[in-house]
Amino acid sequence: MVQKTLFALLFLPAFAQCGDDFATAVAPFFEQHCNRCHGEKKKKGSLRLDELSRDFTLGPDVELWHEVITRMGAGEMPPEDEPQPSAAEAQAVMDWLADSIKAGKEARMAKRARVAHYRLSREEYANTVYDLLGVTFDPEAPGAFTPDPQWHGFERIGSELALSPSHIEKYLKAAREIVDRAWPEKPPREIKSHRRAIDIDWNNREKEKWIEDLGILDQVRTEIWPGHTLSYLRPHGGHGHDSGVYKVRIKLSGVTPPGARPPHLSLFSKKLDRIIYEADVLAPEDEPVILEFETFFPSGQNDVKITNVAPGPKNSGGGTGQPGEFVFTTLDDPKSRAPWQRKLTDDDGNPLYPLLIFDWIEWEGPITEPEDQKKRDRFAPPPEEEIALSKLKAFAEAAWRRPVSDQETARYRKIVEDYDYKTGLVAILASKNFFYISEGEPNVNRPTVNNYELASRLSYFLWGTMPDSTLFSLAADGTLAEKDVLRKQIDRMLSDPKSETFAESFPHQWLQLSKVGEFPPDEKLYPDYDQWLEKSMVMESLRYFAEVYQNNLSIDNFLNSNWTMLNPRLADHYGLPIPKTADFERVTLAPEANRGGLLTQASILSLTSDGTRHRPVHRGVWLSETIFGKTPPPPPPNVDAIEPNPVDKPKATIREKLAAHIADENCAGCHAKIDPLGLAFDNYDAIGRWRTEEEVPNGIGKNPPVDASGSLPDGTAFSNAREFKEILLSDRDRFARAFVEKLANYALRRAMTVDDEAQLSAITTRAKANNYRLRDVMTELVVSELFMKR
Amino acid sequence: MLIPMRIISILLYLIPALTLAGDPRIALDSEFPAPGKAKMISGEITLIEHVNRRGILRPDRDGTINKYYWDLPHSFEMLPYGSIYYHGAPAELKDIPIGTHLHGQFHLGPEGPFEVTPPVSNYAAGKMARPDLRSVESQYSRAMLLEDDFSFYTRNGITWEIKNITEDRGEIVVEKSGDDESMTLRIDRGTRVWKDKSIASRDDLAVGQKIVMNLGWGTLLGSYKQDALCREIWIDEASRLAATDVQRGIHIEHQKRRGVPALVIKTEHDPGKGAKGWLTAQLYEGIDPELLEELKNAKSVLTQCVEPSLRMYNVNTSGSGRVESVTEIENPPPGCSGIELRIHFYEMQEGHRKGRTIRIAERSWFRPVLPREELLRPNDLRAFSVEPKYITGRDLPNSPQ
Repeated sequence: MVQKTLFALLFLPAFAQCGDDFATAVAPFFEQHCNRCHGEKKKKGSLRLDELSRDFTLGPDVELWHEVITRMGAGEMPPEDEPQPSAAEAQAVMDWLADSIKAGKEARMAKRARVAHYRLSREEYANTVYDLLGVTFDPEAPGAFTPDPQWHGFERIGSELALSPSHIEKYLKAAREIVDRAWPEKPPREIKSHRRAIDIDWNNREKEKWIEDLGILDQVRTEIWPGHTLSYLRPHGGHGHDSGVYKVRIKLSGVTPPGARPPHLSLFSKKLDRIIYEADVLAPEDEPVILEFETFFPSGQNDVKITNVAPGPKNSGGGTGQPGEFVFTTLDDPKSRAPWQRKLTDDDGNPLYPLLIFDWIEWEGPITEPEDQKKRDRFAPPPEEEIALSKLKAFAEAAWRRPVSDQETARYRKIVEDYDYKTGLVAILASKNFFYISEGEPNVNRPTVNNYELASRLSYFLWGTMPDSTLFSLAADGTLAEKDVLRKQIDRMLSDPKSETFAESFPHQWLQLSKVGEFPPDEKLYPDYDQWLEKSMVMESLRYFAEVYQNNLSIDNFLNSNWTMLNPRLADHYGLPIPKTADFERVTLAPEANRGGLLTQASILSLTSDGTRHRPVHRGVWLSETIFGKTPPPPPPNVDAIEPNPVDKPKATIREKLAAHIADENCAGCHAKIDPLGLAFDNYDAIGRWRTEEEVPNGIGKNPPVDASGSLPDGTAFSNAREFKEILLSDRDRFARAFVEKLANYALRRAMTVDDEAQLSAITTRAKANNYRLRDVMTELVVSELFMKR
Repeated sequence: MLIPMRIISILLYLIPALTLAGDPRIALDSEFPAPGKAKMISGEITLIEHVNRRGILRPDRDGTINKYYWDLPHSFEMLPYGSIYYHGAPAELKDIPIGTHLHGQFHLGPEGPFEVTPPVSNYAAGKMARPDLRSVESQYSRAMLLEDDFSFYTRNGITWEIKNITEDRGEIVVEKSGDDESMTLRIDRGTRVWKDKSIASRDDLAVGQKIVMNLGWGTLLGSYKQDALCREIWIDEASRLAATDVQRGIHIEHQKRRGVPALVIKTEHDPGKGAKGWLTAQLYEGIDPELLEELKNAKSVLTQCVEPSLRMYNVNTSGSGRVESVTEIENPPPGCSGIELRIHFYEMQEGHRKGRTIRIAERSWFRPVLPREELLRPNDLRAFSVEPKYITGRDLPNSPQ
């Protein structure tokens, strides 16, 4: 019990401390150590601490308070020749100020005018466009939208999503493109192409007649060894084609050496400058699979390259092409490969490398599904002007997700009259009413959201898109906010496939997964690291969250579990048996696997590392923020980095170097709280692999053994990550409280303040009754007062 | 369930052997044959396609063949491990003049002992000029060994003693050592008589000399024993040693440029290391001690995957490996030198497979240039075909190169 209490105190949310009075908490300290120089008499550095505002919601003085922390943290203040406070005293003051600044900042962020505007994230924009018009818009295409700014990983915090002139230009351009694609001047030219193995194999294309004479044209396949790329998979030969969604089918085999990970198919679009499809392929040579997917292509010529992203020889060596009479049909045919080419199978016919064996690829599109066409038909350009105006209003209401007055549509009617109907639609989509979610009324100070605002809040929370017709009609009836109705709607919405957006988007933002790969690991230190591993790491965490979500499991699973979601690439990375299927599957973990829960997933362990080594302090900060909702104060400036191990000194772990690094008492205070949270995971290297000794590139002697033990400030000791996770679980309410706050950040698109504290705690308490099962936690949030609060 | 093509091709290759319950007379490219199963056939070499190690013999009228089937061509191809000796030293077909009388050991080809039935005729086969006529021993088309008289008799420790010389020095009668078998040999102005290390003349021949000779054409009458034309005669030990030494030098240079051939016995791979691994190969019979010594001391070797004809694809297609061990095996089978090498490769090639032939060279041996017609890449300049030829599924004439 004592342990729990101490633990709770350690991670008490920031704003809880802000309630302490400045006069009693820190003023005596300043009076004793600071005000003699920074007071009425001296004003050294033009700074008077006694005159700084105690209101931490005010911008300019908060900056100065921040400066005070950094000077104290760096040991500059008080100066050496002045009486020194104890380290604990100084630390307490710095903590108080840091928490107050944080609380003040959050209060400022949450400070809302009568009307609050929250710009749609680019993902939400694209989802909304699709639901409105059945048009797939690619916000990440080159020249489309820029990435959304983040606040602690969240991409939809209203105060962060500012608008610049370049945004307006991009919104206008996007609106034109969307309307043109919904109702093009002439019907798009549909193409259907089939490209055979021989078509993409440059060496064999010239030999088609000879191969046909041999009678083996239909047997010809193209082998793609690791690192091998073939171009010319483009949908329409060298010709351009119309933009839209294309259906793709690809037939191929993927063979794997015994005990190794499978080949990895990657299709890269040069024009989109990204991978449009990738998958591990596990299919015997004589039992190829047909993979199907859809992709968006802009208009013009789109080149697509196929690559086998798997470990293997870096150079093409003698492996290139099929020279002379050698034409690939099967691995077992001696005439498939020239004798001097790289050996691909052993003498028993087992592949030596993960190989893709390509048969064909088919392209079909642009495709328009009937339900998409139906969406467009609702607002299709009508022949008569009068109807056009009524359709215009209907379109504005749908696009702006609320009733629209005639007065509001007047300017758009004018555009229709001056130009045409489609230009009017473009203007509606380019309006702030479309790309902003607005809550409140200019002339009324309304404390809660209305039904339409609630409908949008609900649908953007759970679906990441605009409300559907059911939500609109409940909003129109004015019944949506009724608890029973709301609960029914939550059940409906959580069962809808659109809720997959939440299961993907929320964990991505909450766990700050966009940081994975931010510092690409050094190729020499981590030669096994590749893009697919990086993506698999992220997918493990997302699939893990989705599994908890789909099965409504307790959020305890985020802290620890005896299972995870693995694909072959990640299983190989973890040194676990490789699954038989290419996709992710739920795998039960033995204790020796040293995994379970989110915290020991490679994504989390690597996003907190840099390109060369693990960073225990960063791991500690991440854990503090993400699991406890507590942001530690920033480090003082000009802190020396930890230097690499000298070549003439015994090899030392990062932990050992860190201990020497933070010998300064002023640093030790913060580090004592943060570091144990990260050091607990020292058994995992910078890319999340388990280890028992730390590899130190330079220095004398053997690599030192890992020490993942530690103790919390309350004295609770742990010896490794497993024990640490057990300690976390023993204080599950604290995590649940922080998790609820993160959910609220995401749902309400704003930071929480001390004003929200009581409601957050109430939601947490109610959710506990259902063992903190994820969907129940979400439901409790939605039916809470907090969710209704504007 | 598809049957892998490699298995099919191996089965096709093995079908005759399988149906013959593993007839030991059949020799395959992929393994050394059983000892003592080859058939002796001797005759005059009438056509040589040295690049593909093929040729045609006109078998001797030695009394084993019905006279109506005399002189029919006996097409053969050298087995990859088949050896050729000339002047008592290893040789290539190109070293042997057309018209030289050779002793050979032959195995059945993959078709096994098929029946050869020349058309019934009252006429001598030679007069019919039918292109499809072939020797009744054509089944034995896989040459394990070819050697000239010099090599054959020297290997067997046989010399011939001159018993009589005609007055015009047009014929000599010789008698086999340790035997009373005698032959009458014709000699003429073209007969080279070797004495010491230089050419002598017919006048240097004398009754009582113990000679070694190479015969030329000699079967146009009843038997070569009655009518053999003798092209070369070595009348003393010094001349014989000189001839052998020159031929040995020729062959050493030939093999250095191309590498010594060997049969891949097995390959082993490091799991997870791709094509990296070890190759074990046994050198073919006839490796010169000088070359073997260099190979034993080689830190690294270059290998070329070659056709069963020992023909190379290209000089630029070599693989590189490190010799880990050189060992001698006891009682090596025919065609095998008994020398086994274990070589480590960072990357093996497709041709590094059990049953394939490779050439192995100490790194400094290979030269960047070889006679163009010897190479299969970028195209085969020897488009014409000399029998026998075994057509397999994918082989079509005029393959793209």
